[in-house]
Amino acid sequence: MSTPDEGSESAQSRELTRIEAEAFFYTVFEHLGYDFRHYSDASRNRRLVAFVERYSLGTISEAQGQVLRNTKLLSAFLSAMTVNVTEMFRDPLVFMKIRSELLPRLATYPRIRVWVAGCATGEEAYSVAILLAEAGLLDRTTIYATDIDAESLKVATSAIYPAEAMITATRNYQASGGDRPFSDWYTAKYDRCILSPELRPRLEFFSHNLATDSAFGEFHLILCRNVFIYFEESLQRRAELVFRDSLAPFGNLVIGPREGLTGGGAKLFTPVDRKLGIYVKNQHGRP
Amino acid sequence: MAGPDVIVIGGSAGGLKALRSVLDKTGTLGDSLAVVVLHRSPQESPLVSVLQGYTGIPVWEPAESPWNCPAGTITVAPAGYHLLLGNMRTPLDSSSSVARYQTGSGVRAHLSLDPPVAYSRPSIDVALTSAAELVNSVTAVLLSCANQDGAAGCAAIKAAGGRVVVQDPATCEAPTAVDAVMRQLRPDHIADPEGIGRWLSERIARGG
Repeated sequence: MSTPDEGSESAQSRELTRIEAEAFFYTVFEHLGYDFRHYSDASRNRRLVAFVERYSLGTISEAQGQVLRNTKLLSAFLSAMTVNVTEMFRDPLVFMKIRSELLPRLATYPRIRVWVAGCATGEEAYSVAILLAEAGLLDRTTIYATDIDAESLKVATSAIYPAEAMITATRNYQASGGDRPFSDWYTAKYDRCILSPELRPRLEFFSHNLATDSAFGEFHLILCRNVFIYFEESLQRRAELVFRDSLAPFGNLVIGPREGLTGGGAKLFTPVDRKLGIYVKNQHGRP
Repeated sequence: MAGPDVIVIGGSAGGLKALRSVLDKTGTLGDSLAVVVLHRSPQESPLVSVLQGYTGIPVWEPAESPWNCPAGTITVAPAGYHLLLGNMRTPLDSSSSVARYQTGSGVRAHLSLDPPVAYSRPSIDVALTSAAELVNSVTAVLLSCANQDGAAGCAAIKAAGGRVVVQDPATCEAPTAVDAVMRQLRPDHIADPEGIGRWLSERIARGG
């Protein structure tokens, strides 16, 4: 802030933090290949500062050398940079719409391929799996769920969540038009729940980085919700092109309700329901 | 490089009612911009239209993130997300530079799904702590709030040279956060909601 006297020292310290953060992410990219340079700064830097404090690493500059040389610390850093705390069937109306409008089209394919990009701890991937199972489509579906954080993927692979997460999940599931007892989909033990073993074999969890990796297959449906909120426009543009290259004709892209496409992305996809973040790939879209 | 003055208003239980009175006396924001963070349930709710019913100042929630916050308007933290503030950031052409962006004095809102803070998402502390990093002049306004969310953020704003205004605890439905602030620092102004509205509008009229 700009009040000159009391503010000048803190203005300098803010400026230093900003420069240190830019240098940190540049070095992490140059040396390790993880590219956070084009993440939006406010949330990215908050996560970096929280990480540096939690592990008592001193300044951001001091943390930099340690993250570069210590693989355990690097993995903690990647987790800290990607912590999305979400819940199953978040934004129930989106899942209602997927159920009623997208699944009938998916049902016309002999083999269904779905990509959940930026899946974090897997809640969204399992939510889609449940929709497909209830429509009788899961046994011919493969859901590829990707994230850059190995720790999140471990949680996702385990299909084990805190028992209290099922309270929100049940409420959301019902609001999304689910009409079975949601308890059919998990088994509770002590304070934890494991999701139904029927779901897990249809999901593949693995590492993929939207900032650096490219398309790896052709999909009928891609969900990438609450990922673009962290991206500057140039990085989002890159991801939009990866999704364009990864979608089959008439394939759907689902983004978050607080996300929109870039100007270029709007030429690649047409809204099915803009408010819910549901789009369809244009047949002749060019960047 | 001063940019618009920023007013961040936070509250929870009783905060909406207090905010109505604040807005009633504020009238216009001039070249300033305001951000409102109220504790709310994670489901979508008509908070924007409710607030718009209280004021002629344009009110909206970010439709995407990052989101440019124009001067003269109120940006509301949407349900289920943290809202952080940051300065404008424009890409640099030079491909050799470590710094890929240049910082400006415009203000952007960023949404995040970081874990709830004090059981709250949006959290007042998260918004205020990020606002303390702005190059702009910042005023924190803490209204009635049932937990301590907001107290640490007010301290951050104060430490960064900004101003802190709190609702008179005697008029708070829930004074928890305001009490916590007053244990830590001396607010620049303490008043009932109408008084806060008048104080803000005087400052806005003087141009900060």
